[in-house]
Amino acid sequence: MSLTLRNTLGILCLGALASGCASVQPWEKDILAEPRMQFRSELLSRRFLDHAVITVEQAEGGDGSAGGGCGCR
Amino acid sequence: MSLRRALLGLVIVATGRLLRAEDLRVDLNTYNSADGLSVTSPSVNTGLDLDPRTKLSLRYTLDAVSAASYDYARGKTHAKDPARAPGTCFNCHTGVDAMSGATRDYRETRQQVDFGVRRRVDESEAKAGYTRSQENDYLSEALSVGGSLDFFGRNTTVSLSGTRMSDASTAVWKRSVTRSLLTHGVDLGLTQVLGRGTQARWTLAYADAQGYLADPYAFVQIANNTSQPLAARHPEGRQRLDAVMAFKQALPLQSAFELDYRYYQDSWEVRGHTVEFALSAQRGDWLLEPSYRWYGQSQAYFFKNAYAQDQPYISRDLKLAALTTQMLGVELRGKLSEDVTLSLRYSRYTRQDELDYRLYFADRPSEGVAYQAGLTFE
Repeated sequence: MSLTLRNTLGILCLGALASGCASVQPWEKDILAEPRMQFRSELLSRRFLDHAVITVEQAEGGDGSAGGGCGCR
Repeated sequence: MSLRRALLGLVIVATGRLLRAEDLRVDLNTYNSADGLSVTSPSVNTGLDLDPRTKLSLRYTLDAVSAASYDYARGKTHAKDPARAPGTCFNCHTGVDAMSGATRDYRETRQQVDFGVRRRVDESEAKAGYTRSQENDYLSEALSVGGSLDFFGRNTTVSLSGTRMSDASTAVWKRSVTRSLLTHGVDLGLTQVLGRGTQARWTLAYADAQGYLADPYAFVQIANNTSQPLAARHPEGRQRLDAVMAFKQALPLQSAFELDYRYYQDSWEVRGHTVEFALSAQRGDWLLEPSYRWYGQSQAYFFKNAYAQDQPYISRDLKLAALTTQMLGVELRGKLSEDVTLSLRYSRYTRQDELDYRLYFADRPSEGVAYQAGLTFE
């Protein structure tokens, strides 16, 4: 588990370092509001594909759900 | 699709319209694999603004599955009558279970209802949800609560959510035995604006599952003994951890790219890496998005292609093998009119591994194709 903790803490630290470095004002967020800037994890089409791949792959989660939820797993 | 299910879908659509739902989305998804699995999945999603701060959402999904992804029934011996020739179970069990391949020709449906409520107050948002998924031999119910907080002029968003899920499975040939599974999960997320055209998201997820984690239809042959296969046995507990990073960068010519990475590990010693890359090209109200996804995992510590002798945990679940997958896809999204949005997606999915499929009496599950279409009415 130590390797995991190191990896995950590293990723979180990157996030923490990134925090506070932005000073984007509300009127400068026109690009961020465009459809091309939407994260793919938010797309509704992802639900079906995510459900399809968990019948083949062991990895799941990281998308706000607890995983599982059907007998096809 | 039965009349009752069709009516339920219509009721959701009608309810959304009657209550002047803020939006309504109808999807049709299909997946077909080269080895015979066919999934057709229509869904209806509607949202309703109770007031400027509170939104309800309701989603109904139906999965209609036919044939098996791979027919390892051909490699199984009958549970109650081991003397029966392997692969003859379909004579007396029809319509049993999708992925276990307990029958040669089956049809199965899964219905899922998702209900959610969100309330936003100033810089924070609270949410709660309930999900119920039901099959002929499986029932899953999940409750989730969570919230998010915005900081630094909404350039930083921190989110936290928790889920409790209760699953119950009952094999069709033994309805008197119900196996249960209880899962608790927590997700911690951070979304950060890094510049006018740059943002990133980090997520850390942990889940603990306790209960029955095997497949009641799966049996494992020990050595050359085909007359007395043993029921698959998995550990009755699994903890998993995911660390996810997503990075989005705007590019010139109204385009953008996204790079996602997920690290996965669980207490069955499976380690997984997922890398995904997408390029988005926007022209007016239309967006074209080709994407590529690669996934690789190591095998579970108790998984074997073939077992020479019995051991505490035995499984030939192909999900637990070392494998890699690749997915190539392209999606088109855009406005058909002022209040109607169309999305179309094509995906091709392939799996590679080093298993000896002669031991499964089955074809190698190699590739599948998914088509998705969605219409959103706002």
